[in-house]
Amino acid sequence: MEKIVEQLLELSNTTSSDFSTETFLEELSFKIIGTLNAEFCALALYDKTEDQLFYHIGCWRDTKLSKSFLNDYPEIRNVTSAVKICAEKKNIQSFADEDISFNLKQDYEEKFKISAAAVLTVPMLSRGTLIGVIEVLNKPTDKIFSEDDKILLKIFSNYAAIVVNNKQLFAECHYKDKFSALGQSIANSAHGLKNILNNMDGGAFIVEKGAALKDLKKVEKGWDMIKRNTIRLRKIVLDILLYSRPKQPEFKPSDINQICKDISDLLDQNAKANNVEIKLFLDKISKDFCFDPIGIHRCLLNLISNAVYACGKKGGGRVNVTTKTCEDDVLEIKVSDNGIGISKENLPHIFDIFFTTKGADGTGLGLAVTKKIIDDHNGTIQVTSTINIGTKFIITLPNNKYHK
Amino acid sequence: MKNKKSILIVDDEPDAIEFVKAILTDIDDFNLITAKDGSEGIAKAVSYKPDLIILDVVLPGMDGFLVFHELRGLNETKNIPIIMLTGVADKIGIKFLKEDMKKYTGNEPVEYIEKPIEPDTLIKAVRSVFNQ
Repeated sequence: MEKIVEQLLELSNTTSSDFSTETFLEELSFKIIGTLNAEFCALALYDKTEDQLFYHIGCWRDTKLSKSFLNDYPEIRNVTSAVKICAEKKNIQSFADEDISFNLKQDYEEKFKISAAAVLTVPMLSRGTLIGVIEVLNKPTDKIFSEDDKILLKIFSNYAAIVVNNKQLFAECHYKDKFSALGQSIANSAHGLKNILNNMDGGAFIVEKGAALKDLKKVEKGWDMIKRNTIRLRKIVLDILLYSRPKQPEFKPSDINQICKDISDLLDQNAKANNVEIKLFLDKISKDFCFDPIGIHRCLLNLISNAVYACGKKGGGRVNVTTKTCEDDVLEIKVSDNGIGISKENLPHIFDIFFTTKGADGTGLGLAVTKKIIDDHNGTIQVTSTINIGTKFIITLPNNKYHK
Repeated sequence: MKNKKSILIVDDEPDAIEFVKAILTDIDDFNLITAKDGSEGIAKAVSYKPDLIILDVVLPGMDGFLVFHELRGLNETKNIPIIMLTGVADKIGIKFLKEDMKKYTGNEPVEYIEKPIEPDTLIKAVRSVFNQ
């Protein structure tokens, strides 16, 4: 018993959400061979869609012939031709229902031309669901497997079932998440683009009407609508390209405080018009700190203009921009506002591409692009927000001078 | 002399409002009122009591559905016919097919028109409201 506890402990050390199932099963097979003193261990997993058991691993004690078992007997990859035949007309699900350990000596010898003194087979069950089957073959001493061996194998198989089942569930969730995120992005982008398309159709409609009525003013009005919306479309397309391009940032010594001042100047007029004050709290920061100035300018422009927008929606407010250096050569930039805030349900989505709550005022690309640029810097971006109180973004950037 | 009918258009896209206005001008000489978001839309609906409201679903802040429910809850506006406009798959997790719309709003609105707007579809919908 002590032995199996040790073996299980070793096994559990090798399992994590990113391990490969094959590696785990192989490791498991060797542990079983060692613990039960068996000659051979094979592992089959149950395939729901085909209602079949398929061998994944077969290991011999002496040689590491793991996969060669399957190569030697390609016809038994489908385990039903081995275990099931041996088990005499038992259907696959019955493995899940009952405890099976037979002496299948004769059948094995006939089928595989392996001299078998004893065979022990147990199902891998996770909450009553059949995950697979483990079977071991022969003891070197030609003894049959004992009741203790059966219990040991069951412990191994239960553990393996949980691990494999978790792995399968993890893969399923991961796939679903990814798929629904993609679908949502497409849906969001379709909406933004359809609005632009609608406006362009509107422009064309007014141009046509103006032309029919020989009303030059109408023609101009429609034409302006079309032009305005081509500009919007161009911005979206360029942002999509920026987002998807695997371009590496150009790190060089840059002045973060100057960038903050430039952006504040740039947005000043718009801020004042919306009764918003932008306040800068700039620490003394070395101008040798390295990052991509164009990229970071872009990020801060996005964050600060969002902050101004959030305050403007509340009828006015204040945006604080703070810079400071932290230990370990890390630069921290904080953008906080006392604007309308972001709702709890929207907060997890703000960095999703094409996600926007700003209607015609947003493209859903600003924060997605911002996040990507920060990621490219190996930096972090964090957000906290309370509805009607305000929002705070904190960016940290490592000094990227060694990443040439 | 017949009374001029009034129509309230609620949309956050100024160009979309222009488009709708241009189409409506082809039908008749209406009194056109516009609003750029839900709360302005509700306020104007209450004070002007228009004969028809054309309401975009995706609005910043309060979305078109909320606006719809608010309007239906107010005595001044509960009987005003509403035509809804939207792009497709407009809201997280909700696909706005006409059948789905009914779930949200009962058998209303009068018509649900997808953007980009087909002028003929909107004209037909508006005519059907005023011919009743």
